Amino acid sequence: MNPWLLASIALAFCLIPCGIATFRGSPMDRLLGLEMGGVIVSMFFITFSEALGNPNFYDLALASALMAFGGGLVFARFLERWL
Amino acid sequence: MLRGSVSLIIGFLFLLDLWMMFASSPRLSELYVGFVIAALGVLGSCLIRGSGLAAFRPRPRWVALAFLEPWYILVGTYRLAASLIRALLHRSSLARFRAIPFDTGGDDPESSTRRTLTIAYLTIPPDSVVVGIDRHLNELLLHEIQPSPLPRIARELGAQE
Amino acid sequence: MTAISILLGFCVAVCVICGLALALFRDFYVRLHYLAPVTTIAFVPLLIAVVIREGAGQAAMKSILVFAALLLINAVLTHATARADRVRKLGHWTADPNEQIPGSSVPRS
Repeated sequence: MNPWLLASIALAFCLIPCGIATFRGSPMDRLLGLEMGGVIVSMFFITFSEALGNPNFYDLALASALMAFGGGLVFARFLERWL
Repeated sequence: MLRGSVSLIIGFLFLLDLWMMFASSPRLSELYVGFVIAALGVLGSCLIRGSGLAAFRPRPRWVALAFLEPWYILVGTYRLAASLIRALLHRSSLARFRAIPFDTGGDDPESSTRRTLTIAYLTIPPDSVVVGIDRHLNELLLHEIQPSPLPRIARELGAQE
Repeated sequence: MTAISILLGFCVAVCVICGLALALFRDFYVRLHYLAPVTTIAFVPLLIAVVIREGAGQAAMKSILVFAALLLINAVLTHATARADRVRKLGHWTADPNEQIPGSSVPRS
């Protein structure tokens, strides 16, 4: 159990309040939970990569960050205009 | 034409550099793939610029303002923490919307760049979120976590207060 | 190892605080502000911890890329989300005559 693995587990638990925010409130309130969850997942991939000593997961962190951007922006635009 | 060509080459090299950082491998095959990817990126950039959708022409002085961001991030975090403590002590929130007179300029690329950079520079710190820049009223609408003085970045980019 | 533990602990603490603030605060715009520290204040110690452990190599380069991407992404998303919320609630994002916004030149109704 190294500090990176502990940090990964803690960041995974940080997704719980994001999930709570995503399951409650208006659609815009839920979007906030999704956006913060996306950022925390990127950080999780970095700490998990270090915990396992496998540098390949860094690519996942970058891809996750970019996908979170695209997804969040699409939701924001749809919620603004059509939904 | 020369300026456009130079910016294309710089863009190509920048994208190629990003790819090589991403690949993190000195192999020739990665360089070849990087050439193709960077060329596709530059092609996309040319298409977007040609359509006039996203004109971006920053002045070096505006880009240099980014070096002030770390300080504003620290100050913004302090204000956010103060607001959090206020909430924990059950005191009323000081968060508010605020309108700031702003020289919005016109449809030219430089004015568009100035507005974009203002939104980015003022939204990155945690204590303020720019909602938008109203070109009819020449106002910048932002939400701040507590009343605070106008940052120097905003004044350099056209805020008038 | 101690420095890395402290840095990671700080990173996680900021994430926990921001996550709890997101779940517990009621005002939408106040919650929106808590998105920023996760990408700025929380990520920097993580980045430093990666550099301490891995040195200036592949991992550090990719972490810097992720940090730069998240910094810009967060600003754009926060701005778009704030605007979307106002448009949903008011029909427009500009200052409303019914609001008392300091500095606004919109005449109050």
